[in-house]
Amino acid sequence: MKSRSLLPLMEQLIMTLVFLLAAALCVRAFVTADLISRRSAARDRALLEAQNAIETVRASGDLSSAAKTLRAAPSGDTFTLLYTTDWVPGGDRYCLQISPENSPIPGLSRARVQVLDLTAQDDPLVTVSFSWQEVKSLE
Amino acid sequence: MTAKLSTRKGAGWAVVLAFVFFALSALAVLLLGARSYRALVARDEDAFSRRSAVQYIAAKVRHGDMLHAVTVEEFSPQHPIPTLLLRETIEGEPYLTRIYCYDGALRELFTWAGEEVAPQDGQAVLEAAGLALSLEDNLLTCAVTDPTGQVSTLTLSLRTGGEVTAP
Repeated sequence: MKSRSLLPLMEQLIMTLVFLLAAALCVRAFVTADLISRRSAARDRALLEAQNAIETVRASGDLSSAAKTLRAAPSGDTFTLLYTTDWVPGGDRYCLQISPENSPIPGLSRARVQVLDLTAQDDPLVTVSFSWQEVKSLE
Repeated sequence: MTAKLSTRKGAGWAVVLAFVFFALSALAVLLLGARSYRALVARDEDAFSRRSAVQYIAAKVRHGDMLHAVTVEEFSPQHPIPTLLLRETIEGEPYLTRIYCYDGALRELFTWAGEEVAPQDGQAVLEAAGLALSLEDNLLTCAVTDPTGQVSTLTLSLRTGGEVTAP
């Protein structure tokens, strides 16, 4: 009689246990989805900033002039630009680096733009190598 | 008899408690999932509107990048709205594509160059709160403010207007 009265309780407990196991998997999936989404949004924005940097280099003709326009800080051959979490220049969350690369073709300059998330240990958000030719104005 | 009744009553309460716990857990997971999904959608929409506005301008400029064809001017003396002007000649006649922000939207207006037009004549392309433009040393900078107030800046190097220096 006693065991029969405990039967619904056992059923409830087993049901809750199974549910908690499933819920733990779901919560983990939600957290992973959130992390992937945040990284995608950051990568999207990083790509835009990298594109802006590349266009500035192409318009300026050389890395030093472009760094001045972008207000990037030099450190050796590399120029660094820091951003806040909202991608406003002057923070300590994201870092855009422009470094020269060797070009085998005369007259064609080459460089690499990399955007890093300084709070994450994983790969750079964006790495783009690009080339440009020095131009003079027709004006 | 009393002891048996009290055991049954205790088991009954335990079942109710277990059910309440189960229901609250289910609700919590459901709310967490809904919140997570809402955040993902909001982030996606934000990225989409941000990217669309600047990439739309980039595509237009790349398409119309000819010598002296891309300029930044005011819409008209009566409407001093910053406007991106793309000039082209079709069958000997000059035509203008104006890209500007007016009445909460990024607009495009394609007309014959001599046509008198008003800002409301343009086709609304995307929602936007503002557009700031500058063109210096062949470097075009467009800052699009979206309806939430976030600014996306696009820099474009105009390909025309220069010649390659000999290596």
